Amino acid sequence: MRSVSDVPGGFIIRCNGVLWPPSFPSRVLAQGELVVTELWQYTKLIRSKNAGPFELTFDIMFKDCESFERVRKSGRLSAETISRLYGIPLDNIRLFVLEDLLTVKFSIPRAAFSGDVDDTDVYGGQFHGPLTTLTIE
Amino acid sequence: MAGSNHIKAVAATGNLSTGFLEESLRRAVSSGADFIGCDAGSTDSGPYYLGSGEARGPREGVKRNTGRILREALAAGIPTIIGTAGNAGGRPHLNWLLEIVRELARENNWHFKLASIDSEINKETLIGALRSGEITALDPAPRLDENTIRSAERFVAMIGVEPFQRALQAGAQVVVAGRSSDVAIYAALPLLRGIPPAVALHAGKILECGAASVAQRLYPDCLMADLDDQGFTVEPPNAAMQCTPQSVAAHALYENADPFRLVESGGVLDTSTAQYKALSDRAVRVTGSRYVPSALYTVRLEGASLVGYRSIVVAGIRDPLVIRQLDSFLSGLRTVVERKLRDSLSLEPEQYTLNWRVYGRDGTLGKLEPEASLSCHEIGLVIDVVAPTASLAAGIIPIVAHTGLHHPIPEHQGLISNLAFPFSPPGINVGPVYRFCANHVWKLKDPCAPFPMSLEDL
Repeated sequence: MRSVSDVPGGFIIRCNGVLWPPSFPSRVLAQGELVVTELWQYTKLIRSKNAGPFELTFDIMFKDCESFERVRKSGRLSAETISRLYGIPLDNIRLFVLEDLLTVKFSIPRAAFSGDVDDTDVYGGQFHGPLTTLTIE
Repeated sequence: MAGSNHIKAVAATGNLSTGFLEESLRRAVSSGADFIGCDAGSTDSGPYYLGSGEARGPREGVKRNTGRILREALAAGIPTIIGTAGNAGGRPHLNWLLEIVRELARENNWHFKLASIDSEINKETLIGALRSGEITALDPAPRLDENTIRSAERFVAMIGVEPFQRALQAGAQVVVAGRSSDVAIYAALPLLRGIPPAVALHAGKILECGAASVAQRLYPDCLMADLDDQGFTVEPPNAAMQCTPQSVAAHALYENADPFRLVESGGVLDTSTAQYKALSDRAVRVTGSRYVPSALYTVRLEGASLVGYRSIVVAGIRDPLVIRQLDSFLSGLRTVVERKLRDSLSLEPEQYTLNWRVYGRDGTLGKLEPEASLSCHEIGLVIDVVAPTASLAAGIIPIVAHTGLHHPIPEHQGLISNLAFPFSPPGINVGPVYRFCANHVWKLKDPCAPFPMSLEDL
């Protein structure tokens, strides 16, 4: 993903995620380039956690209706994306959309049970990492 | 709004080992509480506690918190209900917490009827249940057969509302239980008083993490709920915190694979139709969830078995040439290590596990890591050995560490040192390693049968 700064239109986005423009910058620029944003820019919380020792659950809670709609319309946050990102079969993903809470939630079986010999994260609290920078076009 | 039949439940905190403000508990109790509940455990910290029988302390903190709860409850003449003693709820964990309670009673000259509920399941009982077809695997579940049961360290079953109700009906003022459904701790007494299951269970689900369902939890603290025939009102007793409709509804997400369905022993709570309404800027009214009784009464089983003993080495790698060929470096190292262990300790690779945990690549996410490339200037390597005995693990580690230190790469000719050990000695003996060996349910005819209760007058 490229870094864009001082793009025409007066907003600034840095892809390492320090700056966040007041309005959504994702639009086609004069040169025909698409400015790309990341999922965390639309959310107030992205987390993963154990749901018991055998499953992981992910909560993506959006800032406001506009952010929720924007990501929904992008079609990027889907079971297919999660399947590709984490390399898990579609059938293993349970996806929930909680509109009242502006939240998307999904749950998957653990690759290694919590605390087992080959587990990497006993509490399951860091598996959300790759989701935070999911590109939203 | 509230029906004539109502009951006020107080959660002291989300986990007995974490704190709460005495002032919050006092305020909650003086507002007319009918009981104080507290959950004392979780599987979240992994299988170690269930497997080892060790309670998760610190003991002083648990004693202080238990003492504060008992002081308020005894003064107000209301019951205290504590579930999942000692973090895992096995027999040694239960006895650990019971001893703390007895000690507090002696030191403070408190007198009350104490009930303890044991949830540890003997292996022969479990094998009998397995043979009778009463055990069913959940998904996903490890394989559970007679051999895995026999070789496991410990099993517990999850106590539902009925054993708590039996203790309360026997006149217990303080109930300390083994592995418990978090919800059952809070639903048992309201159900006894005729509160509908949908209300009692949903309130229990919101209460079980203490102040976790407030909008901004400043620190662990109490939560209270007023239950009636139609619904419940939830509010933190601490004026510095607020419940909002969104914060209460969002709590159904936390650590739950399914945010709408909560499976309990006797039935399923469906919260998809629940409504959350602000009564003030701090209190939320919850109505409209549904309860569907199950045809069979089941309790969850948890078990832990010993896998072996772990020793590790932490090492840094900064040489870009080693980092560039890390996979071949580590697989070459494994080959040499396996040969050396065969020669020196007569160990075959099947007798131990040797894991490279590569921080900077996939040390955190393991198989779920999408970033295949390695693009950092240093690597944190944890060499992880699990062997059948502690002395074998401790014996393997120096061989792996020293072999890795000098394992050659083609670009450097002559003796090189590839691993930066921050510690002397480089190896650390971690101790026993356990695994969760059951994710099953057990069909029961009598919800109290596997859970013997003892009463004592203190």
